[in-house]
Amino acid sequence: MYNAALVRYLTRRLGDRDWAEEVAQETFVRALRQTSIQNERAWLFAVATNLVRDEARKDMRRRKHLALLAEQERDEMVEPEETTIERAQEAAMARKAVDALAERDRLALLMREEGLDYNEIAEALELSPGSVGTTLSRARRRLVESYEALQKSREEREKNAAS
Amino acid sequence: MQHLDEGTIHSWLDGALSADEAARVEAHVKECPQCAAAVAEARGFIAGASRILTALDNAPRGVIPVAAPKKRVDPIVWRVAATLLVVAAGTLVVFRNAGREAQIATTSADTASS
Repeated sequence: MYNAALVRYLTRRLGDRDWAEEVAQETFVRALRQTSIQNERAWLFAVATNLVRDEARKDMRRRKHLALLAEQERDEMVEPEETTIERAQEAAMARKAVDALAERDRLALLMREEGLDYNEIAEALELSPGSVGTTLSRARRRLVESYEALQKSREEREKNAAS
Repeated sequence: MQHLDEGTIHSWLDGALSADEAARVEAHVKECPQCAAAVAEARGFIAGASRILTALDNAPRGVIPVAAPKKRVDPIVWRVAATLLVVAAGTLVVFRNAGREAQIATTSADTASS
């Protein structure tokens, strides 16, 4: 029932859809083993988040691997259409801006985007419900500001390259 | 009522406040241009953040392999090795048999001549 939301949440967090599906699957396997879960959605997001945290070390290795692969791919890549470049650049900037957030801010925001309410976010992240608003407002402001900063420096780079 | 803090504004816009609290915030925003501006800004951040997160979904799929491919010996190598082994064993048997027959032949020739 929450599979699509959970996979999207994890994809946005991890930057890789296949990996996200693996973690989501593992989360549901664990859910099946549980006899009683009070709030299913909060529980699923909390467990998935913990699995991601456990994989933090692997993440480092994967990132290095990813960077290497991306480099290889860039060398082999045929010039894609303009719109594809534009979208890929936007995705890359979004990734950078999201990565710049503090983990708690990032997770709260990603959960909110999947429709979790403040109580569910508080439960999943072990926050007090009263602090969720502050966390989200900080996360949103920082995300937008760092994205805009990236956009601005890109525009300047392009201007310099053109002149 | 004092000015609204950013967290409260976001809570309000996200519909996370109780009815009483929401009513109080609404009344204040109506009378306070400063907080009304802060609400407008917060709406912009909410929409902007949402749009940025959606851009993440454009990330290419399958950039990272699910599992690193294991280094395996190519099956053709095994097949070649097996063939060589069979051929070598066969040759050995044939040679040994040939040797024994020659020996037998020599032995019987010796017997016959004596």
